[in-house]
Amino acid sequence: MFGQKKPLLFIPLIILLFAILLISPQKTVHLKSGLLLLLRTPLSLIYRLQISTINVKKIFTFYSEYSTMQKKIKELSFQANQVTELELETQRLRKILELKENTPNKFIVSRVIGKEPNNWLNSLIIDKGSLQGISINQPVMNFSGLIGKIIEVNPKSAKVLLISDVNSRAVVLVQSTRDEGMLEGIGKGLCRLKYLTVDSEVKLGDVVVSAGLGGVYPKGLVVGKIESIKIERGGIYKSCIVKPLSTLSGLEEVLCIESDLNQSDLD
Amino acid sequence: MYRIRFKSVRFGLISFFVLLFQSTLAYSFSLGTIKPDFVLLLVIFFALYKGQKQGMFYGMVVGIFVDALSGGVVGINSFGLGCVGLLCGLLKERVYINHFLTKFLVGLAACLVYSIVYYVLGEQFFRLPGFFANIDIVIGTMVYTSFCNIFFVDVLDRFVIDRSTSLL
Repeated sequence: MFGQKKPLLFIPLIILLFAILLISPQKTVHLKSGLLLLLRTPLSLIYRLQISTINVKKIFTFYSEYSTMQKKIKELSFQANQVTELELETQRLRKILELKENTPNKFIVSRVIGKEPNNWLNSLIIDKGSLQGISINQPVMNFSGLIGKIIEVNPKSAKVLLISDVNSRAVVLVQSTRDEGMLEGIGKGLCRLKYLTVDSEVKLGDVVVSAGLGGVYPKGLVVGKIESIKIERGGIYKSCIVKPLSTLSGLEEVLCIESDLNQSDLD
Repeated sequence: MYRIRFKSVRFGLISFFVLLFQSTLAYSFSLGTIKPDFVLLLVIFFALYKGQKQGMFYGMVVGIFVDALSGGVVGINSFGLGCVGLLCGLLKERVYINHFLTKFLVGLAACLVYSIVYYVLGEQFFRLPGFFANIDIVIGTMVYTSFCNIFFVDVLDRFVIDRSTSLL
């Protein structure tokens, strides 16, 4: 039905088009502007929609780029952390190497693999044992100074009793005055130097070194610095609080002084 | 109605990792010289769900491992944690463990019992820092560990306890 009417509809349309073409352009300005006014809003809407679509596309692209960048940043910061960690390790190992070269003692370098599970005792577990030449009572130090001694040895691991543990004892000297005393751990990462004579001229900041007596620690190993001094009740002895030079809570590598040289030093 | 199932294999694995964690990474949680005792929290959790006999047995077994990692004499941690397991097991079905205050108070009591047992036994075999001279460490450990218990119970509960609805 519609197919038959189509040619009839086209004829007036074609005539209208010709009529419009015949009208001079000056006279069609109003018509054009009217039509434009009519189309302006939908046009701008469609244009905005197009822009928005492009922007949404851009947002998605940016988001995926952002995610990729975030991943890269994470990877890079991980790598940077590893580099820092390696740098610190190199520094520590260099110090150990320097110490090895500058001292007559022979060392077994070992890593700390575990720490005391409770808050009362101060001990470490290291990754070297009797198979690597570790034996009981071997002194243990790091590049800052003495940290303790071996108290338990297994074939591939050993336990170190830190000098800050209350079960630890060592005969020590105050480096400047050469006064001898007994160093014992008091926990909390500190030690107490006992039995110094009242007339001893120890000062705050004086360095304490091992005396080489008692059969465990060789002479001259730096232990720590004096933090406070007091005269004991009765006025016979002075006692001092000594802070170990090594940060005992953050140890990562330690040096076990080999027994034979340790023994020869003691002799 | 809920049917509670305790996933023992998972708990065993968690126990193993917590033991390793206690003597390695737990230091990163330390405030000054005080670090929380996560192994003690494991024993409290287990005993509260399983009762006194199993709680005590678990405490003793875990304690042996702690003794192996510690510088002290073997048996002290085992005995201490066994006591904690026994006492916490007695509280099974007597306390509502899911309340944060209960978690805190049970943690506090368990930590106190453990500290006293550890001190009394430890003093017989080796030297320990004086209980009252180091009361700051004792109280600090108790409070910190109990505080951690508030969150630790929830985490363990999520991984270890299976609450499925039952027709019964």
